[in-house]
Amino acid sequence: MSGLRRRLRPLLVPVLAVLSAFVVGSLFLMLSDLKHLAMIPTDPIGALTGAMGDVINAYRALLLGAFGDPAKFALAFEQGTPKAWTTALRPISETLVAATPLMFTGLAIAVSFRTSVFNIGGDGQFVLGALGASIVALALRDLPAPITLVGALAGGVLFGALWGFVPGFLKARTGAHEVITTIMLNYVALQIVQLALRTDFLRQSTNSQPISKVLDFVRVPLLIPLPGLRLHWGFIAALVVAALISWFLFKTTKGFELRSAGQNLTAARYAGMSAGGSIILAMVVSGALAGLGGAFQVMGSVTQMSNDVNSGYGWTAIALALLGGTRPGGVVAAALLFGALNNGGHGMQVATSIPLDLLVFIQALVIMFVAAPDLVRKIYRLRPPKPEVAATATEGASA
Amino acid sequence: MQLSHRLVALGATAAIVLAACSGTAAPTAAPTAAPTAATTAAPTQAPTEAPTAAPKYKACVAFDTGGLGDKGFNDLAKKGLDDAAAAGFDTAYSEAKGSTDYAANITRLVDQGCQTIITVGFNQAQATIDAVAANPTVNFGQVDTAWNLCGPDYTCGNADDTPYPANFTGLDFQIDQAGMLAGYLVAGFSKTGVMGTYGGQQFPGVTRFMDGYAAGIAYYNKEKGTTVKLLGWDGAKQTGQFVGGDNPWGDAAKGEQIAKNFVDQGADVVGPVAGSTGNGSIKYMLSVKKWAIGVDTDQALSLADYAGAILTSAQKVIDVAVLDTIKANAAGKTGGADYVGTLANGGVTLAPFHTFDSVVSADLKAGIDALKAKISSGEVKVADYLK
Amino acid sequence: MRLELREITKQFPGVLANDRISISADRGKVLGLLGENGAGKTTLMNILSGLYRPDSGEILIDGQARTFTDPADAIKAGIGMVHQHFMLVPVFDVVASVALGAEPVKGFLGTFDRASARKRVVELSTQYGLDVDPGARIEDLPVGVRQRVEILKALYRKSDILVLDEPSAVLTPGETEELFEIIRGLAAGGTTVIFITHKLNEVLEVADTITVLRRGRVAGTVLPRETTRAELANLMVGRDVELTVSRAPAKPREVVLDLVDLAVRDDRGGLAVRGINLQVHAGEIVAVAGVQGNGQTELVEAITGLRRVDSGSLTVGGEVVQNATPRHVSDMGVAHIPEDRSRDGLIANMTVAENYILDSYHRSPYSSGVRLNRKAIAEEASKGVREFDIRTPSVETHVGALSGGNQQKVIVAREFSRPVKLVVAAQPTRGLDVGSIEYIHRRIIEQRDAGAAILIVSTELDEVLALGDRVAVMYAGQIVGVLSSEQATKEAVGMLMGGVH
Repeated sequence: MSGLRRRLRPLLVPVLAVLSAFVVGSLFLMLSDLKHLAMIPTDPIGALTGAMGDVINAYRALLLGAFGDPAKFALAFEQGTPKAWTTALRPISETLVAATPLMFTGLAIAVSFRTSVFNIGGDGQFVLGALGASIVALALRDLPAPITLVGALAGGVLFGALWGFVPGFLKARTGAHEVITTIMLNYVALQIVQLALRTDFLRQSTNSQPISKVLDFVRVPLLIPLPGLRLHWGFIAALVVAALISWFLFKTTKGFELRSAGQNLTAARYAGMSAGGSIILAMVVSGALAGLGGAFQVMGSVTQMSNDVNSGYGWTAIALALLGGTRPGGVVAAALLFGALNNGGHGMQVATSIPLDLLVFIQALVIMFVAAPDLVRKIYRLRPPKPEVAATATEGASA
Repeated sequence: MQLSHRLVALGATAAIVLAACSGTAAPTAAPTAAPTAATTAAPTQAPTEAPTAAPKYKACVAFDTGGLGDKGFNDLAKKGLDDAAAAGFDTAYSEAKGSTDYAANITRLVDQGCQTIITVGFNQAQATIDAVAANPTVNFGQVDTAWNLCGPDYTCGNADDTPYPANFTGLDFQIDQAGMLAGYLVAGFSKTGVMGTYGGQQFPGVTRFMDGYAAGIAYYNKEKGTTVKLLGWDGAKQTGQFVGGDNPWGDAAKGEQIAKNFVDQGADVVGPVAGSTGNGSIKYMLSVKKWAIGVDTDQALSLADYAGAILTSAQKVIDVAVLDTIKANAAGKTGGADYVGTLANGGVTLAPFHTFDSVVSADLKAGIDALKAKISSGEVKVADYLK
Repeated sequence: MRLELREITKQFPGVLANDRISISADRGKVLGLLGENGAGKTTLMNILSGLYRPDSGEILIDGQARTFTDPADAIKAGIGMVHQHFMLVPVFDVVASVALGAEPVKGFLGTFDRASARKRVVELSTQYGLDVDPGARIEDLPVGVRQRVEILKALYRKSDILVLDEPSAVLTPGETEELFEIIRGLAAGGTTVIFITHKLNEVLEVADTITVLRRGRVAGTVLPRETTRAELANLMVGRDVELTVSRAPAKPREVVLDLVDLAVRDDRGGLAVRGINLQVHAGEIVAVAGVQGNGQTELVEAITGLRRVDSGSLTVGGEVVQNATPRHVSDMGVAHIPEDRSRDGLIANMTVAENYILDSYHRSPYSSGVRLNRKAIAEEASKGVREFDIRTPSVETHVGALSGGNQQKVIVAREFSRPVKLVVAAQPTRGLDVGSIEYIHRRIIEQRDAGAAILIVSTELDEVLALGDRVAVMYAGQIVGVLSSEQATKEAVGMLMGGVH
């Protein structure tokens, strides 16, 4: 097998999984297409071609919405005006904007899963991170912008870390199961946000509704200097953080402890590692990452704290961590995929009025197909990977 | 900077408890009983292809994360959009999953060629204002907001006054007219002859409800020679009871306490205008088997758990407002002023009585209808009954 | 029924797991299939049970060629498997476990006919002398009894050919004896038994014929009465093996490990170790014998800092170490070879190199505070791999992919890679083949001769006798006797282990 082919091989199953999800999704699209279903008795061929045409249109809208329209790129090259470039680049920019919070929460959950701690509290840590950033930003608004911004991001990290520390500490000290505590703390976090948004300190003074003052007095710098493109340095930060987490997990002693504890807690304990310490550290790092994601969201993408600043990022993150094999690189790739699906899905919804729920359905299918690689292999008649027994036999025979 | 201060959210029903939003959003029938005299066309199916070849005006709505199925502003706005489609407009809409979608969705709708874009929900206010400035050729509207000409502190004539954008329409409601009908109803319905009202904070969008209640009671007293009292708001002095403090809009426990105080003072109907704080009051009234008046939407639907206490609501008829705004935009009136919903144009109404329909006497209903006609014709004005 | 495998060949990518293997077993006979880990026994059994299909060769039952496409075919053909790791649902009772998947049903709805299943289970267990309480829950049963349930399962499915894969690996010596009785009974009743093991004594004791596999081939077929342990070991390993490693008499020096009135509780709070007094000197091996579950596990955990000491004192080299952290204990020069290597000693999904540094990753040269020094780790691990003759493709191979013997070598290499004052080794050769046992015993004796104090805990009598300069016997949480190596005979130690003293 050539080097390139070997490198591409791990991608085969995910790519086919996405493809399969779209095929199954198209069947559901056709089945929910009442207009064409009604045509079946009178004009079955017309119904079928019409329905398929609609599916193609929908997926076309999804792709254009996620990655941009080649025609608009051509126009941008031709005209070269900022406005043309903005229009051409906006879909891809929005895809990356959508992927950014997912990258942070996905990494957060991956770190915890690596340590066999099941942090289901990404949502709570994310919103509290966003809240922490908003509070610090408002408190420091009179200081120079860079200080305010760094302070706000640090505030997000701190709040998120705290919200990770609590369940970690409870598990290490009392054995309270983190799945239960983190889920419960999600609700607590939402209520804290609700409460905080109604205080005079945060709430827009002219508004009776729970929404914060606009935080545009300090903003994460934009990545592309074109008005109308929201992509900010938070995306680059997410990539850097992914690299850092990778380094932390695989190149440091603490990371070694976390991985060991995650793979075999008993053996880690026998080897003299502190199990409780690993659990707490994993939860704190996990919470801090989710919190940083929340901070970048509110200081970069939306500039206003509200109760809908989170969009289920903590939950999606669980799927992303698993899709990415809990490897930072894999999580980043999965987040980019979901960012594209989310953004493209909105484009499809607006263009075709297909409910957004169908997109959630396709995402669920992607997860299902990726989670069941054997199914994908069966469908596409791929050779299974080398069985483990064979590997053992190899060692034995050479012994 | 601080452009958001230019929009004033008028709603008094804050987002309901979070869990309820996501958990109980079962697909239910849209409020078909919406009591709108103005909606003429029967609601047809989803946007249909138009038979005419002429390029049609494209009207769009951007929903907020409360989403379709909220039995509130989103569903009503969707109905308005469907009515527009039935009336021959090209339509599209966007759904949102989080606040990051707002700005992006509006841009997507602009890219789709939408000529009117109406946004729903206070969470989208900032995104809407940004879009108004960035897209001068597109007409925007936002449900339940008014443009604040006079700066954040509502004092006019200062440097921070801003002109009304020519491509924006705030969908505002003369809700005191509906409030007056509610006050009249309460005056005739109350066993004790005492109603209590209070607001979260003293904002114009809040006190308008309270003015309405005061005027309705005064009108009834004058007409029938009774002495029904309103606690918590003095229409003449424009002073009254407000929750205040650090959490005026979300303190359900305080809402219960306030309602209890009113009941202790003899009130048997409470009309809170205070978001989730008010929900606490309604809950308390239900627990003591007394009554409350809802605000903004038909709260007997959106707050179904407490429907047993909600006599009626002073309701903003969003679907009519959305359709009227679209029609006005299409006719060339791009904005520059608030759309104002009134009893006359069907933009505000008294919500149906639902389970209380059989309890409210025919006489009282006749009185309400008569008052409604007089307000609609301009013969009766709310302000006249505040003195 | 007569079972015959002819010229079975199975190739996996990169390895010929079975190379023209032919074996046969007559009705009512016990065939002992002997071989080291990785000799191809498991592959052969997976072929026999329908899990794999051979590349060539054929399976004959009573002279008829059969092909199995899946395990159900093999079961239908009368082949019953008892795997090394039991396939039982812990919360089911014995009847349900036995009948699972082949439940008798009754009535219109086809509900589980428990009564008739129970009747069969009782019949089978009396017929074959498999003493089992049919109503007991699996999780409450000792391992030996669970194995009987597995055998019952096979018999229940009317198996005439019973394949037992390393059945004694999880059993105590007493349970193993009982198992042999059962096997003899089954054979006498006409069942053909294939007994897979790597233990010489066992095949010699129970098999009618012995086929030895080595590197995927048949190395020889012999009759027990015509062979010796040495010959079998030679066939298995391919060279002469020293079955009892010779050692010079111990030269004990100062006391290293000193236990005074040591008491330790188990997980449920009961006293597992009830006041033990024991000294281990530098340069000697003290072997603790005893049937599993007499407090040895708790004793080892207490010494290595994994379990709190209830009362008494515990010193290593004069320093009090009771209730110290495992890391502190290890820093003092205590090497620990844990009882269950895959659960306690290794992380299967991590590499050989990573496992090699598992308890010293935080020290120089592996760590510079924050960062791990990958280069030093790879170098040191490669050195350990060379020194301890660990057969692995590379130090980056996952340790779970290695054979049991090589896994244990990784642990021993790790523990002996740093200066050692005291070695605590629990079941150091459990489940290993003769070659590996010899190797690990030799390494332990080398440590002794280099001046370390050694505490071996083992339930294998052979091991205790082969290694112990002194033998301490544990029974019911106490040391019931300490014998010198001259006094320690099989009979003497065995009596003490059984609580007779």
